[in-house]
Amino acid sequence: MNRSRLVLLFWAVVLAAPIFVVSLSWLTPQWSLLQHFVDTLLSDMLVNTLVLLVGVAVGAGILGTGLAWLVTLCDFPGRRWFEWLFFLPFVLPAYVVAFVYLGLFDFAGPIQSFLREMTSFKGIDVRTGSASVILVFTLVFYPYVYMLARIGFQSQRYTFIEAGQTLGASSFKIFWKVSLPLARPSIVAGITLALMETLSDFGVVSIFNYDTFTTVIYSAWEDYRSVEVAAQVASLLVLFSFLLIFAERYSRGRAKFYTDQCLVEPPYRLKGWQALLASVVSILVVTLAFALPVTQLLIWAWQNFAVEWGGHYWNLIWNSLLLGVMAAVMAVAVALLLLSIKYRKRERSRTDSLLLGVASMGYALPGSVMAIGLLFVFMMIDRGMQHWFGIEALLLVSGGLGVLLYAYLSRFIAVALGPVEGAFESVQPSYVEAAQTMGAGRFTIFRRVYLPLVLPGAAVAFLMVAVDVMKELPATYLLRPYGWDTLAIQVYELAAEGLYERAALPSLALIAISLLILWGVKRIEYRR
Amino acid sequence: MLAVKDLSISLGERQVLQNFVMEMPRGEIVALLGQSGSGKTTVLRAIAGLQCAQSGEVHLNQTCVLCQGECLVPPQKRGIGMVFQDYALFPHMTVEQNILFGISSWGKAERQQRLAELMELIRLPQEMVKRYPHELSGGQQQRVALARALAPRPGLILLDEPFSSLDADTRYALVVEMREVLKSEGVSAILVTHDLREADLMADRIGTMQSGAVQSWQAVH
Repeated sequence: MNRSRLVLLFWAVVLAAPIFVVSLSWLTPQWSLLQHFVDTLLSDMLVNTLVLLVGVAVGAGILGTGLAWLVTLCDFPGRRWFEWLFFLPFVLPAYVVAFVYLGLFDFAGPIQSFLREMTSFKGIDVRTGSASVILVFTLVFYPYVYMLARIGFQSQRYTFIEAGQTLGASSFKIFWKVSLPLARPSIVAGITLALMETLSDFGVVSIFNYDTFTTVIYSAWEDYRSVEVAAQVASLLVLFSFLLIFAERYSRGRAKFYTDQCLVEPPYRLKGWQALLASVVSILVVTLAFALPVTQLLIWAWQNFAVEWGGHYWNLIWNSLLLGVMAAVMAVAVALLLLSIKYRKRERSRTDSLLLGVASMGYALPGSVMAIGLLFVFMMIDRGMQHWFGIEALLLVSGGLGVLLYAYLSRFIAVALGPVEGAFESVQPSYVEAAQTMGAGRFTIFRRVYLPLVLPGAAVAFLMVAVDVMKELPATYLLRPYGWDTLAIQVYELAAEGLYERAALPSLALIAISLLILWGVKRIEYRR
Repeated sequence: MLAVKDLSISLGERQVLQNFVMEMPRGEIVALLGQSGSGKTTVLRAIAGLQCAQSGEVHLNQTCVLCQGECLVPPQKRGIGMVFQDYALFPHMTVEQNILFGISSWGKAERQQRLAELMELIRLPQEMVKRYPHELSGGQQQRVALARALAPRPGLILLDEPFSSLDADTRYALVVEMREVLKSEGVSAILVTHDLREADLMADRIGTMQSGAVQSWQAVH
């Protein structure tokens, strides 16, 4: 085995270690507790989880794909603005959108109160059923589908559409038979991301009292203090995520989906009522998914500023920013390292791809389970060291930020690998070979050829990891060193007590920082 | 069958076609020969309906499909086949699915018969119908692209430098073969190329283009 492969193997093992630990929990099964869950909660939660997943897959899938198709293949007034406005809900933490929507649309909220006063409307309980939860997840997670589907549509050739037209196919047939199937791998990858986020969510489902798989995991840990059962149930989740990914890969068969070209201009120019409809739908989506929740947050924050704001906020902002940036820098650096190994030769090795797959498995692990898994491992090591060597290492204390950053890296490396790999794919092997024939060494090729070409992808990866980490709740909550409270934790603690109006301020701060990072990344992309 | 009158097209600042004129009867094969940038591809795109114009007319079977620069009939309704420079074979569809794409409304038996007919015409073995485009050689992809364009029995086929990515040996053999296919189907065709020999082998008549207009016409066959 050569040195590069060893480096890859090392990182794959390090990054996937939490998954192995969680799977090892099956070595010590607690059948009685498992049986208790099977008897009481499991069947309902299984149904709930499945309904939720199907709903989010359909909702986020249709919305994300539709919007991506619209801005990539059609020209209409405001298209260039909507192209990035559609992306904005990504910076909103799901639990924030959940409590804002609940505040607005709940029985006691302003909308229902207004309707009851003005009409004969009796009011409804938005917490019953799964529609509200599915709607919130759809609005929050569609950007994952949108982002990837857009890349899928952009990488198609202009002539595919023209060929379809000259063969007499209608615009709908071309969409259904050509554009959509060609973008399918990207769309499915986006839906998979959205579903994994849904599976690992705890905030939204607890705000809506909607019991899912995660509820069982929390219950096992919180009520019964059983790391093992929590981990066992979580490993089922992981298994489910793998099935999802595998099914998509398998369904591709021998067909090819990517071409070496990209759409520069949208082929369809919408006019008249079609253009109007496209603009109206776009405005509606941006309003519901971004403008409405942010406006409500602004109103609440304004009303409660005096009560909520204090000097400690600077600390919270600094902590959030620092954690996000540190984790993002680490994730992007590791992603660049691993992918430069994979793409060092013209022929791709299956082993390299497999190792990268192993390295990105952590994404399937809910943050809470990862935290529990890590706590478990470090406790074991601490106990072992004390028992065998008489040393009080107190890794969890002395490890400090390291443990938390490791959890972030393991969980979010997949998020960084995606965009960076997309960028590596666009580097033609001949560029590298041309550089080699001009006498450039490995490092020079990386610095002068790969890095400039890969930078936009790396910038996107940086943004996604930084924003994801700042929004992240469970792992941060469980693993943060003393005094390292973040904005997300402040939001959670206030919202958990029902103080939604006060939670608006830290939520807005979080959103503002994320938007700032988004703006910075856009500038990097724009300058290129 | 086809008449183009005073067609003028600008793309941005650049005048690509200037009062372009051409006529062709049914069954004729015409080649437009010219350097890159001479406007030959733009002529094809305007005839196919993929490009509208500033002024001029395109008549197909006595119907004005592009009048005073405006596209009146969309590409879907013109009954014209086109073979693209990059073939534009749908990569996620097999040879069979590609060829049948334009005739999906036909009855099953009719479709299968047309497929068998075309496979024979382009001299590809039947077992290749289940292959994907990337599993074919450049020449084979080119033949499939032609078969796909021919499938709905168009009156006119537009060939946009379809041989440019093939090696010389394959290219000229295929040009001759393609002429035979087109003649046996009785379909009119316009070939756009910058290769004189290709035009010579393929066409009944060659128009030499320069700066957006035909400078001279020359009968070949």
